[in-house]
Amino acid sequence: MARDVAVIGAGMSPFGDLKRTAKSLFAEAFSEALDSVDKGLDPRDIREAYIGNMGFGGGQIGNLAALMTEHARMLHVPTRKVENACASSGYAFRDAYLAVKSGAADVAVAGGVEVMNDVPDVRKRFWLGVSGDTEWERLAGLTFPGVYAMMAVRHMHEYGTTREQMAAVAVKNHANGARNPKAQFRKEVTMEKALASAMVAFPFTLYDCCGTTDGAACAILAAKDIVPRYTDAPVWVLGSGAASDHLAVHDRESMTRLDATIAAAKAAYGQADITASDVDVAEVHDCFTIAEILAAEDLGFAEKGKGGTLAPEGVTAKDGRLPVNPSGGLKAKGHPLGATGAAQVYEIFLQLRGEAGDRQVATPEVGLAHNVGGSGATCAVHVFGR
Amino acid sequence: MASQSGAGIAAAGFYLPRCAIREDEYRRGAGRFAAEGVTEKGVAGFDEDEVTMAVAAGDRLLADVNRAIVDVLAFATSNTVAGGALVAEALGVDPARARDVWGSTDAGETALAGAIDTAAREGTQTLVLAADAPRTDPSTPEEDPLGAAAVALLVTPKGVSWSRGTRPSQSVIRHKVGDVGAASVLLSFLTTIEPAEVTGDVDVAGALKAREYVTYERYLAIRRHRPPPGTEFSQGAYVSLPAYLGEKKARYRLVGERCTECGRVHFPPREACLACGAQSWVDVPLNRTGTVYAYTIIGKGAAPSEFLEQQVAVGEYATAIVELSEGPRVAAMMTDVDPKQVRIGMPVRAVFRRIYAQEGVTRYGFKFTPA
Repeated sequence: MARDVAVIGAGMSPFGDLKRTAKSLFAEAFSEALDSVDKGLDPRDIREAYIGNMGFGGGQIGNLAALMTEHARMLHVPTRKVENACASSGYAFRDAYLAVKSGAADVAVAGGVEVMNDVPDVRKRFWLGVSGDTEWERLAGLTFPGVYAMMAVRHMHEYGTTREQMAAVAVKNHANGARNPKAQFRKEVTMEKALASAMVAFPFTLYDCCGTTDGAACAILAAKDIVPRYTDAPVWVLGSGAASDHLAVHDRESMTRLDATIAAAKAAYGQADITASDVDVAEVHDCFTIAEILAAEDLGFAEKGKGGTLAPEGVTAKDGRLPVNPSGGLKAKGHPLGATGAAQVYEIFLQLRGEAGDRQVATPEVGLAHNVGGSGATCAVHVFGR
Repeated sequence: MASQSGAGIAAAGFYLPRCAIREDEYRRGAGRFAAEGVTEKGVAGFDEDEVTMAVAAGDRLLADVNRAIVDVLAFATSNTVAGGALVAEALGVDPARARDVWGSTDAGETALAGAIDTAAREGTQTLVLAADAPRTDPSTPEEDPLGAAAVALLVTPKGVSWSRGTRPSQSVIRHKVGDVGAASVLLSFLTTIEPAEVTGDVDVAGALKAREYVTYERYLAIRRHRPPPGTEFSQGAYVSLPAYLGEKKARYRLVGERCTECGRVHFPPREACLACGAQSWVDVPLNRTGTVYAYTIIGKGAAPSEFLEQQVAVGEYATAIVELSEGPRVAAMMTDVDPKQVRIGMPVRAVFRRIYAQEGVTRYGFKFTPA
């Protein structure tokens, strides 16, 4: 019964502080996805829609998915919101993949949307901490940067990782973001500026942290037997892995790895029958600079404890041996929570089809998208091939 | 040497806040100091009040006394705060045994006199806790003489005698701590007790030497319990009161749970054992010490909304994951420490403090401070 599944189209709205509604952003992302289907697609062919969203701020909360799909010309489609914090649309993608793979739907949509800048600062402060453990971590006065900052402090303590190595991730991703016309931050940043900016949560300065972003992204998946109807350049889903972990970091055995990433990657690599060294381009969940370093280690791109060396040595640069976050990543492209996982799929779709413009990396065969919920309570990893 | 022939004090403890301010510094900042005879006074921390200080004094006394012998816990304060049951919970005493005496500066004397009377007539053993911290407007002269302190006295049928009206000269202590309301007379009395006469700690002079002196600006910041304009936090972390209070033993007293199947100790409480999956527990009081496993400093302006008031008042703060000496780790705020001094491996101990207020209810719990 299980069938191969391909991404046949993908789209993304601009990311940024946009003063726009969620429905307009999602409709734009969906329209681009539809337009990207080479031989065209009638929205009525879509059998299931999965919409990632965290509910940030205070717009539509209940039944959000129906509002998105009705405005995106998918009226009456079976739909639902998928919520796993920042991994919402990574999981929406997995759910759409499973629906197509299982035979339940021939064509499915996986998207995500978040509007974060339409509320005053004091309300943002509330929402920015709702995806870590509320009962203990948050009541310890911890913010989201604070939780990752503690992971960074442990990584520095256990492996000698430096603030400069973390800042190098920001410098690289800002350089990439500068080449991405849809990125929130399209300005390069110097190491000196990154290190000298305001301390948000020791050892993080402002440049170690992603921004708050409005945006939407969308992918369209189809079963192998009907893919030729839509495109001759599909991007195949080679592997889908997902896992969860303790919500509170204090309950985890280690603070210098995300076990959910390790388990999700193992499952995705196993299904795709590849190893980490086969990956040519990766979009990883760099909500904070340390998160890209942890991801590099947990995904097997670097030896444990050595993740900090990749960016300074140019390994993960656009022209490096393994380009990581050519889109600018969450750091520079922006991180509209519920849209991030789908936006990663969008970038890999473009990269594998050679359509990434100024930020195109050299002829990748295998791409990876790594989407983390909160501080690692959930994770979805997808591997793609041409 | 006081007499020990009848009902009286058998054990004692006290608490003075870590910070104090000197008369000249206060006068420099406020332009007045309407507090004749006071040369310096204690300053309760931002996260302290009469409840947390009573718990601190009680903790000190109970370190040397089996809490099971406490028949009654009497909490006295001049403020309109009925905190007896909460203080009892935090000290591991049955809250059904708690009594409140409040609303008057002689609340401490009333509680102590009553305790001695019932000890003499019925043999009742009462833990008297008298505590005060100012709730005045710091911009008014009424604020000037007010200090903060707490006293804990265990009254038994045989102990150091005291009778109402026994008022040691105020100069014994007032000039150093300020007016401490319901705790005033009891604290002065405590300084007249010889260490050999009671269990616990009566070394007030020693504690006074360990204080840290603050500027008037810092004093005002710490004392400001109202959110400054523009920092109202309409939404805080929502942990409902039933959920919060349902874990009182963990939040107030760091009581963990031991799996009855495999013996693994968990903290905070879990629904199933991490080692064996069993769901059967016995309570394990933890010794409330540990070391810093990880930490961060939440920069100015970066606090979650419910801690914004605190951050505006006191600036950046440190928060940590502490590895308890029994093994489990827990996230908690650090207090009474310069955030920049916190390091991995730093030995710490738990203290009972205000965490934040929501829906008009102050949430109490533990923080950690250097051991």
